[in-house]
Amino acid sequence: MSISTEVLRAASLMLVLACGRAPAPAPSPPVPEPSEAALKAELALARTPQVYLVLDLARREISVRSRGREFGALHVEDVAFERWHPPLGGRGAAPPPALPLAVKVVGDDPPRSLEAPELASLRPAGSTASESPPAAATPPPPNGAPLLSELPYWMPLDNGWRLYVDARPPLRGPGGRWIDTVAYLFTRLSGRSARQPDRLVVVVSPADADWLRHLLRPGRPLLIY
Amino acid sequence: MKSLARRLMAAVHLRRRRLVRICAAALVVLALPAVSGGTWSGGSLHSTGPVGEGASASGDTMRRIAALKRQLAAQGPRGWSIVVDTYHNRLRVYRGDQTVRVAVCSTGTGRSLRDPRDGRIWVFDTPTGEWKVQRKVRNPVWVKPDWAFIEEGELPPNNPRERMDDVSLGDYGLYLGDGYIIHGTLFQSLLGQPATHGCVRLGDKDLEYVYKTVPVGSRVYLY
Repeated sequence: MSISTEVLRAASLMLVLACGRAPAPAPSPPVPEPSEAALKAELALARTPQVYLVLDLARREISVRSRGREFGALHVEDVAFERWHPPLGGRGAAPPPALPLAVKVVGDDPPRSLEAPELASLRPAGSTASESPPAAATPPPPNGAPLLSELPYWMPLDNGWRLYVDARPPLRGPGGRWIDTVAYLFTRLSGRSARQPDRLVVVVSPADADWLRHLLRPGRPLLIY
Repeated sequence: MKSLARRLMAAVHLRRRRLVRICAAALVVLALPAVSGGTWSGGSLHSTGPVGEGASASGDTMRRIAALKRQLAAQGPRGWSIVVDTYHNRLRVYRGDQTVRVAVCSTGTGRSLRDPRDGRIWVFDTPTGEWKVQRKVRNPVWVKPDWAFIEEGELPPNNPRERMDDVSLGDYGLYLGDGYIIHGTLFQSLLGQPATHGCVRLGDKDLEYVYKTVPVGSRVYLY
């Protein structure tokens, strides 16, 4: 064969390969829609003038809503339901809770800083008007944000559970068991109640954990489905 | 000499065995919680009852679900509404379910102040929930409450005229009730931070837009 034929053949082959399509990526599985029971539960909340949280297990997110409208959402890495088994106690996996589940946050507001001026230090109003700018013109201290909890933190729920929030899953296996048991023994030795409520473990990013702590106001409903 | 050496070696050997036994016992005790101690058991939660899979979702179920979704959508505000994110300090104006403006704002610091006269405590939080624009005012005048004086180290005056401030609230005010207002600010550089005593502060242009656009009676959601 002549060189030109070989070159032509090679060019044709390259053209065919270049026109060939890459295999299409596999379509992502559809995210399940809320069930009828979940929608009914949310409708009951949406009929009230309150802000509520929705933990959507299918979408792996916690969204803040009111009147059925979503205002924002944070991604959840993992959600687990756990039950404590004391040393030498029974074993067996905790049965998953029935869903949808509507609970309320029971815990306290985030810790705050308290200013408490002394009575003796208060001067009559307007006494320093000529010396300093009026109160309204004095800028407030910029770092007045409430102090938020360190990770992990937990909030009690009105069904007796705890909402346990961390940036990484709890340690499993012998190491985790060792830590949990030692902590449990310390609790017993210190005279505190050894009852460990069931807990809902939520794993989020540190930034979202901070935001979530802000959203977990006492009395705020949390719908899980 | 040989017997002494033999005795010494026996003693060392005995100590070594004893030491090994003690270490083994300590290891067993330390490892015991890991083997037979308490534990959290459970697993990841997943969504249950997905809709539309296979034959599990009947036509009736789908119709009921569609009806529920319509009812849920009907709960939301129609027309203009305002949504304030008190964590990120952002205010959004909605028309229907469309966001038409996003503004940087300032919300409550969350700090507390105690009145030394009677121990009363004020908490400077922006409230959450659903509120309404009750009235709108141009050039609002702030009637300063007691905490505004206590915070500055002053005794609150008895004369009401001494409480009037026509500067701090800016050019416009949208009153939500209970003393909470969406208003302007002298401290534009603090927008985006929690800096207020509970009200929502906006920059001049955003405030003017909100005042001129959002009618009285519009819902305001704070979270």
